[in-house]
Amino acid sequence: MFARPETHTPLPFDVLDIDARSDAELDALPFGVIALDPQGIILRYNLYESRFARLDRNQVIGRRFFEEVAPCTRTDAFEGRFRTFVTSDSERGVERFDYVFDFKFGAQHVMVEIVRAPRTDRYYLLVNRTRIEGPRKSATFPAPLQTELAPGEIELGVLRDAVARRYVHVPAAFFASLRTTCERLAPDSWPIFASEWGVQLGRRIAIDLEAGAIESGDRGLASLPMHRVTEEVGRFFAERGFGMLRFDYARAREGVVVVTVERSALAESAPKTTRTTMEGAGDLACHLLAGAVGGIFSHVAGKRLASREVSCRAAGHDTCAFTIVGESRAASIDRALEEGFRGVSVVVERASAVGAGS
Amino acid sequence: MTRPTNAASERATAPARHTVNLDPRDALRPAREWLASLPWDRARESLETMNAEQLLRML
Repeated sequence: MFARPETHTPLPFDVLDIDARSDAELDALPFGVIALDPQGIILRYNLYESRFARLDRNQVIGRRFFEEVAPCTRTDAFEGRFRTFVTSDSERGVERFDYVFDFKFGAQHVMVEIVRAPRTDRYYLLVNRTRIEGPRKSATFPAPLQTELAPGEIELGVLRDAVARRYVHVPAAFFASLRTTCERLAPDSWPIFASEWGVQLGRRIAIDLEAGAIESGDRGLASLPMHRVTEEVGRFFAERGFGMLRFDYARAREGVVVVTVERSALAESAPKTTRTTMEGAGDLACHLLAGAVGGIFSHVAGKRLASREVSCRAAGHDTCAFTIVGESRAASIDRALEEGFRGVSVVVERASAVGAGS
Repeated sequence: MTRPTNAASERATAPARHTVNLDPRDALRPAREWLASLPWDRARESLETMNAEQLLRML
């Protein structure tokens, strides 16, 4: 029997312990992380930094940070500070300063922290974006674009989007084949596997949406009105062909957000069934979407939220729907589903009946 | 120099913003109770304009 992991979030941790964190943990952080050796060679580069710098870390790791990747930092105020920090005998573990990263697509105002990883020869740059503007005329050595760092990629079968993220086109059957394989190798694991996959995906999507919000001049997703966030999330999935997500937060004051999906690509690519009642969670097909939205909302809420797929057209229900609730309500939804599906509203009633925080 | 308040190291050290285990009963009870007391149309209007973080922390 497969169980849901207890937690997705390894934080908080001591920043001086950052070197012990896995790449996946660094990717979950809401700020840029760049690890350098004493010579300035890039050793690690997290997802947030990759998204904001619009550089693929596969082309960045192993390069000289100051000379090749960020020549705008070849100044006393940045490189000079780094070199002094590296050579100093001080016990001081952190150095902070404000700076402006000049990219050809814009100027990013940042607050940088240099962290000395204890007992190693690695140094971490933590980069907080505070503001983003258009390119500065005064920028003499802007950072290179991805196309300049790795020219001729398209001829090698490498596709990138407008912010230089690599992507692949896959047919909806990709998901069906993955599910079939998973069910063959690890029976009954698919709902949890797909849901957890969705949560991981959702955290990455949240960074994309966060970056988009900041690049548009907003302060970030969390400070936007809820309807703006749901519009952005819905557009993200619709533009990628997953179907149309609709968000009903009428019951938010009672602790439940309901998300329905019209023309879900996941439901439509799943094996068809004529069942009219839920005979097992394996018949539901939209766990990935449910997990992803849960992951995004958890990022925005600043606390872990649970998503549960409640109904699915692939299981013969009238609609694809899932609920987002606080962790205290997740168990009540699980119990309601185990008792058999009797409608989305029944599940919502059960969840909303649970006292907040109980 | 004024010490920045949104330092990554501070967020990573404790308590990180996305791991704060704030009990909604403490922080959001007034908002929750206020919303519950409103007629639905007004409540919906409030929810739609509510800051996303504030709304989702009610869950």
